[in-house]
Amino acid sequence: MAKKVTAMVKLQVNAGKATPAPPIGPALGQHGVNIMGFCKEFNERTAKQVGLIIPVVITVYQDRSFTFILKTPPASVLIKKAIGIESGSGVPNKTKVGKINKAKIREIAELKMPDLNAGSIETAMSMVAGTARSMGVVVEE
Amino acid sequence: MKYIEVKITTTTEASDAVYNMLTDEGAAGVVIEDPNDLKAQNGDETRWDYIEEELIAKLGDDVQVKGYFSELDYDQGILERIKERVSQLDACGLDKGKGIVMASEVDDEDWANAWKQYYKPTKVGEKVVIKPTWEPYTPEAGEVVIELDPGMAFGTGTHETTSMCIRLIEKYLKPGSSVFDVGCGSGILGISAAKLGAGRTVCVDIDTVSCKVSRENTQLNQVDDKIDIRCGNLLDVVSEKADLIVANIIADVIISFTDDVGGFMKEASVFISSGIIKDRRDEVIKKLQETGFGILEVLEQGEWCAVAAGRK
Repeated sequence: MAKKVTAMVKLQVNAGKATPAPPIGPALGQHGVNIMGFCKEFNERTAKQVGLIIPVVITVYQDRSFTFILKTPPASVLIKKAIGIESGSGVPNKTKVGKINKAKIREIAELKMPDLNAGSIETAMSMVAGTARSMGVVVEE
Repeated sequence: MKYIEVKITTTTEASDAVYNMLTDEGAAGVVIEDPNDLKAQNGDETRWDYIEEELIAKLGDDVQVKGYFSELDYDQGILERIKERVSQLDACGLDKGKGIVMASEVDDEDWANAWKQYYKPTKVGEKVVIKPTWEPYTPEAGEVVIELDPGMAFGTGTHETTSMCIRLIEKYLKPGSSVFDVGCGSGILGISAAKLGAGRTVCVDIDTVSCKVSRENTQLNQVDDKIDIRCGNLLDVVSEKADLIVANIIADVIISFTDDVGGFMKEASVFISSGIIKDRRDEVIKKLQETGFGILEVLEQGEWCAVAAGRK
């Protein structure tokens, strides 16, 4: 059908645990999207990944119908997993919480590449490296 | 319970880092509004979405990352720490962009139900009324009521392209006619036809979600015994002919479909095509005429048009 897009929203939410509370409520409510319909479908599709944060991109059409696609986990989550830390540093310029090497940065960048709107793997790598530094993770040259 | 929204204006490359700051501080979930997502999708020709340049222009270049905290979990320190960390993004090798950090209160609403205010029973044709399942409605004599909730498939009845199709179906459908709804979305057109007295009706969509939603909607409207839903490309899943074929898709798809649709039509069959933006109207009509169709009628509403055509 003639699906004219009125909005596109990306949410980072817990797999299998979407509810109408923020962030979903305010993000989708303003576009008149059937929120319970979205939560139900999202929870169904992500039921096997409970415990993970799944970014989801929702496209809203002119008649308030919608569709969504699931994306790869956020870079920060992949970085934590790659070097085995629970959380990043609250004061990343002072307290360092770990180190990550170039190979791992490349691995994450390759995984995230389709979702980053980045033109090249180098751009994607610099984004992942920057995210690591912002969490107090030292990027090894 | 009130919520505090902390909003950071930044760039695509810094958005994951900002997301991480918000979750470090305990945000339950994060919203990212990135105009680049829309721009990237606009270049993807495998999708049938129609994205206006105006919408893209209106969104600008800034990325908004929003985290939500319940007022019980929130204190001023959160905002200060996030401001501090955003200011250090450039030193980490990420372009922070405007780097504006703001907090505002969000009133708790009944999010699960608030969206319903946008959706009321609507008379879309001479007879057809689309009614959300939760709204009471007493039909007047001769009205045909279709129950439908907006969801994961296009076709809630509120869009011009859908309502024009319904008006044309009302006009060209004869009792007992066989109908194909090509690109059925929510199934609304096939259901309308069935309720208006069509005989065998086949709804086709290549999207599996649409097929699932259509199936639910045919059951909701108790026409599942009259409607056959087939998932796939029309050319692969249908070998019969129909008296009325309706396709509410987009101009490009209609133009290419025109080459094949004749094979599914009888001599007196009618082909209703919709989802045609006004700028493409003449192109679609020309193509129909070139492929052996005579134009019966063209409807226009808003920025869209719909065409009814017959075999010459």
